[in-house]
Amino acid sequence: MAVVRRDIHYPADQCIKCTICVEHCPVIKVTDKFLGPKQVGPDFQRFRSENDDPHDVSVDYCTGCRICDVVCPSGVNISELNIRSKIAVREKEGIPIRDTLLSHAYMFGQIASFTAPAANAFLKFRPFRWLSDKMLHLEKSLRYPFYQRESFEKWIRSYTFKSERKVAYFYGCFTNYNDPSVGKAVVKVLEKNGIQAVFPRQECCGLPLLGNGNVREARKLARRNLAGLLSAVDDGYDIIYSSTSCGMMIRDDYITYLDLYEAEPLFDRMKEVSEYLWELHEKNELNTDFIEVPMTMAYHIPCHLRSLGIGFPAINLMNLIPGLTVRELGTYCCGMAGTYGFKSDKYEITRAIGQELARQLAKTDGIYAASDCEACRMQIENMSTKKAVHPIKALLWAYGIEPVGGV
Amino acid sequence: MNYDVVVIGAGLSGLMAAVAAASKKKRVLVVARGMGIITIFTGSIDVFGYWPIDEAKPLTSPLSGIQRLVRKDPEHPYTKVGIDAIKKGIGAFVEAAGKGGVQYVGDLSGNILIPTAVGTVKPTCLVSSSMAGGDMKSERNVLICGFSGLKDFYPDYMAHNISTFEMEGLKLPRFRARTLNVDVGDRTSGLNCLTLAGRLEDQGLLRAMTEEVYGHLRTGERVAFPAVLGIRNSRDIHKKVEQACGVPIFETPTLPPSVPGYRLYKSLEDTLREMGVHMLIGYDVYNPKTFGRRIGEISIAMGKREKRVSGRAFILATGGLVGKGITGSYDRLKESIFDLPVAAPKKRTDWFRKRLFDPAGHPINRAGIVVDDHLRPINKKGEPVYDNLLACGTQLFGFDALREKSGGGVAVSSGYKAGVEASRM
Repeated sequence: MAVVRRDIHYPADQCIKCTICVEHCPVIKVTDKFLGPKQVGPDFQRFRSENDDPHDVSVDYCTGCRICDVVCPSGVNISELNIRSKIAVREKEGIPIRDTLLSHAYMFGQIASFTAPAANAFLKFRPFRWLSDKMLHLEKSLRYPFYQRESFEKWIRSYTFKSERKVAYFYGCFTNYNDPSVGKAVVKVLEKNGIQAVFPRQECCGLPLLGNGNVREARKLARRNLAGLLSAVDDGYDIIYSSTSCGMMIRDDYITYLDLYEAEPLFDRMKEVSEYLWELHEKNELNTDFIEVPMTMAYHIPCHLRSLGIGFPAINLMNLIPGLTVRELGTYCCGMAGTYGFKSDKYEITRAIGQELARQLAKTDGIYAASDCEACRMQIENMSTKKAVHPIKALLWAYGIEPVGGV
Repeated sequence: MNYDVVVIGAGLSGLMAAVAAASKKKRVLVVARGMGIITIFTGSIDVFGYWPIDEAKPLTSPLSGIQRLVRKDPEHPYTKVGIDAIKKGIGAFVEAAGKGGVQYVGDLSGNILIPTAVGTVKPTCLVSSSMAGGDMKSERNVLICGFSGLKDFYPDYMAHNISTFEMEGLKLPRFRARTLNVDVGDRTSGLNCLTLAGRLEDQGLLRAMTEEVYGHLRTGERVAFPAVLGIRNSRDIHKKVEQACGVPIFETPTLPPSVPGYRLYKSLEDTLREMGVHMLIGYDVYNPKTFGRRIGEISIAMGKREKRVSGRAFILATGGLVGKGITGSYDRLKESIFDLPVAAPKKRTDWFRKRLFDPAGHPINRAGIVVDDHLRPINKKGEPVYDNLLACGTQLFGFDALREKSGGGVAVSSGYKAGVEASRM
């Protein structure tokens, strides 16, 4: 019988205090501000009750990478204990304006992509950055993601491909406002396989809100997403996603943290885009009419891909492409961790964790580095001279839809 | 997913099995529900410290001890593995760890006596180069340096205990302790070794530490540190501190979280990745599909998303009672994935001896899976339960790793042998 690891009420008493989670925690190796997953999670859990003080100051430094869950040999849901504790602290003490702003990035997306490139110039404007660091503690030396004038949403209107075979696509805010080229690549790769993408009504998945402790608003967004996604499932479609964090939020966290049990039917239907394509390949249905893509591609595994428990399908897919050499970097958390890296009190931690990624990237040939997560891709570009791409781009090039390096 | 060899378990024996199978050009998957004990152990490989089990004097040579053992004890894992595979396994381990950046010293012909953080001396066979200077056969006196604020290492405690420690035929050098006051950060919560090791990769801090140590040094001493001298750059850091102090230095293993364990894990992980081995951590393994005496497939899942994995050979390296490779009810033990028979004393009252530190060890610690000379688990009739299933590591029947100080050697050599056997299937 399978042991279901992610039973949300799995008792912290399963912890045997082995400290394997501490060994693999990216934060504890670079700062003593975080007490570590074992102490903040199962150790403190014994002192927590519903009406009690959450007993926690250091939990704010948890990046939420969830590697502790992955490595725990006793099946303790450590990160869940940490995230719940973070929520409890925030509910008691309130959420700082800075974190509220960061977790509502999707709202700025609508305005910023409408006003890009003016918005981009403004985000690059030094006095603005200095001021936002001083007033809001938003790190001034970090590059903000650029906003695109044509959002993916807008581009979809010109999408005309029709097929009997359809799949629903949850693209997420980053693809929508900051990097529509990922969405376009997904759609075009599907088209090469005779599959039409349909787009259920969607908004931000809510993970930034959950990560900053705002369950109430996360639930609001989740409900709106569920309406669209569940009706897609009713229509008989699988749902693919190209952002591993969005996928994890919808597939797992809607139930775990937001208690939205109506999300249950999504579990079997939600597929990461490479997972979906690899399953096609396993059924001999993937178009493998590839041209040669002669290059070395570094590949960084996002933490949330590890915790999705679907293996590393992007590596398998890229390995099908003739001429392409995939170098998995062996790196764990990149340090960016979504909105975490934008906070000036966390910036040094983010940089320090990212050093390992930087070292490995510097050692690897080629000018491209792939990763399925947008925050990891930002960090790759922060920490190296490599151009960061979603792995779907390798397929885009292999099908000859765009020249190698094109978007 | 389809592989030649599927290794279940990511501890020392599982990783060694993967190294051995991959070096025979096999497609290998390592799948485990979590990380093995490898990240939290001392990083030194005990091969054979005491034998017969209640002997108080450590063996001078693990190899000659094993040679005598295999003539006397047909059930011991070393007898099943065989001396040739033990030698090759140890060699393969040193090479694999070295490729990933951790240099091991020592060999089967001699035990090294190293001091522990609680002030005892233990025999071990292979130590990382950072610990080699701790050999107690050297008469050089020792200055033990601890760090103020480090919660897991107390130099005075270690020095005091070791001054009262007795071992037949061993004359220990003199130990004295100093607690360094170098500012290693916030001391209110107590620093652990891993965090400190990360901090000491900072050049400025390392320099400040070295200067303070130098100030405490007396002529003719060597310096002991807790094992915190860097995580990924530890060899460079070791060299730098040694040069600056002008005397030999060495690391002493500490309580978990263990830095040498983490270094070893990372080095083996790097080596396996270079060899093209796939690793999936965080997955439960269950529901094996068998055809007569062959295992065809297993299910793996993190949470509810199940994947099927097929393989030509399967290696079980899931650990013993602590690692949950063997689980139990009140009076019966069972293997957790394939429900293999587990040999243990019948009655629970026979599991333990009366005294906790009985020199003969507790019978429950010898419980485990009985295997044949190919390391295939066997049933009561002595036949292999499955033709393509092998077992290795802590879960094997017939040895007491704690008393004999043989856990690392059994893990490395049986893992290696299982990998070689699997690649022939």
